[in-house]
Parts: sequence; C-alpha cells; structure tokens
Amino acid sequence: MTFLNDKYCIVGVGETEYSKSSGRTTQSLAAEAVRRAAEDAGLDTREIDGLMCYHENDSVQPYVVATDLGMQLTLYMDTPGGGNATEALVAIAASAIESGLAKVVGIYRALNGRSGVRLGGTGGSYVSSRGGGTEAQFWLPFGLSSAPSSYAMFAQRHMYQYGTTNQQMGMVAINARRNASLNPKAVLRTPVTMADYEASRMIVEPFRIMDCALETDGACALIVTSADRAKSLKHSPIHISGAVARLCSPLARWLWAQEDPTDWPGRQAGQRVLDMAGVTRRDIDLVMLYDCFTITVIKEMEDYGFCGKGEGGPFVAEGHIGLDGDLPVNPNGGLLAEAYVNGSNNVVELVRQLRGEVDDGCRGKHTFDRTHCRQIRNAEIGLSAVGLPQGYASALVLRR
Amino acid sequence: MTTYTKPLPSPDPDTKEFWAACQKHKLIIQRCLSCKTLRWPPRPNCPFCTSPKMQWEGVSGKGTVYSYVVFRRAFLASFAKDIPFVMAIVELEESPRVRLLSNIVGCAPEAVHIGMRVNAVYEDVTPEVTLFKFAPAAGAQAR
Repeated sequence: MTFLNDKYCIVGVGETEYSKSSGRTTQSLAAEAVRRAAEDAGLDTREIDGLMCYHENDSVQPYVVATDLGMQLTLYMDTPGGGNATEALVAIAASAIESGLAKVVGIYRALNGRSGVRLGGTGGSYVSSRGGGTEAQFWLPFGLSSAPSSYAMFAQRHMYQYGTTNQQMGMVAINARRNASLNPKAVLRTPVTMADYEASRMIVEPFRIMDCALETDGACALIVTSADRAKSLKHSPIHISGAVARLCSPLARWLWAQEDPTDWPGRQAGQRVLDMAGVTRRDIDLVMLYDCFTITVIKEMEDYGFCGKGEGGPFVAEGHIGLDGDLPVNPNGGLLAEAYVNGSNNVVELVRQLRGEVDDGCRGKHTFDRTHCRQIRNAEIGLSAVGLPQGYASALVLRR
Repeated sequence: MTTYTKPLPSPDPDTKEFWAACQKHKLIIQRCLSCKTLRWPPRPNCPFCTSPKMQWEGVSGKGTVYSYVVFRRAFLASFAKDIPFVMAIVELEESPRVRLLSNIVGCAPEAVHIGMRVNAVYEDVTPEVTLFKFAPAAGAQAR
C-alpha cells in the first residue's frame, strides 16, 4: 500500500485575509487564494490545468475561477461535503496526475462563512443546502439544525463513558488561542485562560462558545504536482507520503446505531494512512486535527492512536499538545482560533511548518521563543487528520 | 390559533408509514425480514445485511436517555421561545441499535440525565403532523 511513494507533492500554498465580513465574492476570494498559491510555487496560474474545490455552505465553481485566472483546464471538480475534503482532494489530485488527467492541480476552499451562508448560524440556508439523504426529517423538527448541537451530543456521551471534562475540552481551546496569538493571520489573537473559558457563553450544553469553531470569510489554496515537475519550482516540495481520501464507516449517517457511538472512523483511517506512508506515530512531528469543536481534537487523538480510547481528555491535560510538547497540535490555532476555512487552512499550515517557513513574529530565522515564534522544531513529518461523527475520515501524511 | 413555525418532517416513500403511525400516536420501527434486526432511522435497505425486505413493527415507546444536550441559545428562530430546551438520544428498550433523536419534555432541563427512563409522548403540532417526543417515565429518578 505505498502507491504514493512521495511521487507527488504540494508545491504552493496561499490564502486570503481571514475576516468576519470580506465584502467580496467567493469568486474574488478563491481567485486570490489560488493566485497566491501559484505565486508561492513559482507558477503562472495559466500553468495550472486541474482545479478542484469543495463546498458545504458557500462556494464558487472552479470553471468560474479558472476564467479569472486565464486557465485552460483539463480537469475540474466541485465536491460537496465538509471537513474531510482538503486531504481527500490532495490525494485525488495526486491520482489525477498519476493517471494523466492533469499535470498541475490547484485545490481551494472559498467561503463567506460569516457574512454569507452561516454553517453554525441561525439562518435556514444551511439546512436546505444539505444533500445528506432524508434523515433531516428526524432531526430538524426537534431543533437540530447545525453542527454544534450534534457534536455536543457526542461530547456528552464521551464525558459520560470516559469521564472527559469540560476543563479538558477547555484546554484544547486554550491551546488553540495561545497558538493563534503567534499567528498574525488569526482571527482570534488574544490568549485565554481557564477562567475565561469557564466564563464563556453556554451555547448548547455541554458546549460553550469557546468549544466551537469560528465562522469565517476567506479562502485557502494548495497546488499539487509531481516531484519531477517540482524540481523547477520555487520551494523544496512537501511530499505526499500517505493519504486516506474520504473513508466512510458502516452506519456513517447515524453512528448512534453503532454498538458504541463513540467509535469514530479516524480509527480505521489512522492505521491506513500511517501504513501507506511507512511511518509510525513516533515519527510524526506535529498533527493538524480537524477542530470544528474541541471534542473532535480529543477524539481524533484517540482514534488516530496517539493515546488510548477514552484517554484524549487526560492526554490534553498532560500538556502533550503544546508547541514544545511531544505532539504539537494545530500550531496555527486551527478552526477554533485561526479561521474556519473548513480545514483547508490547517493543511496550508502543515505545509509551511514542514518547510520551516511559518509566518509568525520572527524576522528571519526562527527563534523558537514562544513569545513570538510558533514554528515547530525539526518538523519533518506531519499528519493532517480528520475523523468525524458523521462517519467519515480523511488524512494525509506529508513530509519535507 | 397560532401558526406552527418550526420545521416539519417531510414524509417520503421511506418514511411515510412512520409519520402516519405517529399521527395515530404509535411508534413503529423497521425490522429487517432477513437478519431480523431493528433499524433506525427508516431507510430502504438494512445497514447490517443490505436486505431491502422489511416490515414495520410497533414498539413500546419506552427507553432511556443515551445522551442529551441543553440548548441555551436558539439556532433556529422558531425555537427561541423554548430556550432552554433538551434534545436527546433515546435508546428504545427493544434494541440498543435503535437510538432516536427527539426532545425531552415534561421536566426541567436540569432533571435530565443519561440513563433516565422515558416514555414516548405525542404532540399534534398541525392537523397533518404529529411529532414524537419523550417525557420522564413515572417514578423516573430526577437527578
């Protein structure tokens, strides 16, 4: 299971400003992010012949963005679905290049997630735009219209079964905010304390507002190409060593029908992605975990095997996940504090971390002084991992 | 008469029998005729053995709270006047695989806890639609 063999790589990343009100169209945001990723790679946008994106609430079709950027595409694709899409599209881009469908593939996520269609918000658009089968008739009439309540339900059960506490979830939020304070792009740059967390507004018990991801306007983009093509480009490439592209577990649409609903599909994805990359958990220098809510970080650490089942809460409390811990998690601040770009911003961060080129407060060489530096020391191999109670997972192992 | 403004179920070919039974204040669940497993939510094929053959079966409506949340903020404006309210996963006594999402009514949110015994109750919200909810069983332990 080693088909990737580091033959494909990410050669460019870029993003727009993250804000609560961009005042721009998703078309404009997407084009800027792709243009920046191309510039970062040392490519003219017209050299990109494949363009893919994903959407859940808000997006813009690739052929529209391609027109803005002068591209002639041989492959474009817009796929529905949220958090596990970036990792999946990166893997699919590699497959598309292997099969000759395209040579240089751009991937983006663009949304006005705060000023436009709000995923977690009070609007009805999110509900009506979902294409998940007919099950909504068994949620919506009872008030389940958005993600926080469904994740809070899983969190409550996890707390009951394993003794996970609000304070442990709070430590995930505190870690995110601390890391984001070293990230000039981050929307929330003020660190918080446990007292701040405990005083934060209760949204849907057991979740406070600080347990929930941001809602953000913005876009991110990545460029994938072959290692051969990368030789003539600007940066040393970040190789795609392992991938799981949208694994879905049995009973995916209703994990409550599982014998144990706290079994999420990251468990299956974790072993698979590490085996494909030929690495062990000890080789992983940092992880980007899909943090739409604090509980998902706790769960993904368990499911991807960095701690035992049910031990995610204590694992966080023991301090492993900080910038100098043995398993740094989301040094950018993640979706909880940097921005909610549906996970794409976490993969962008991973690429920069592995290059050793994170955009923090350092001028020139990284100092590792945590008052202004968020670069992880000797970051060579990283994992970006998603595994959610909707029953799906994706993951990437990237290496310098 | 006030108009009911909350989202309503949209019965379809896989679910219309369920909602019709609800209107008669009965809870019915699909049972696979091949592997005999009860399943929720209604769907055209058995997720455990893939068979499309099934029959609807009446259940007691008795269950226990498996997990729950308390809404302190309305995500949908039509629920604003209900804040705080409880949404729960209720495991029916007939099968641990049958865990339904609904609201817990008839007690304070603070009284709800995992393991609490509940019974199905019915709310005729419009002339065409009845919703199933759950209320504490007689003698259910308040926390």
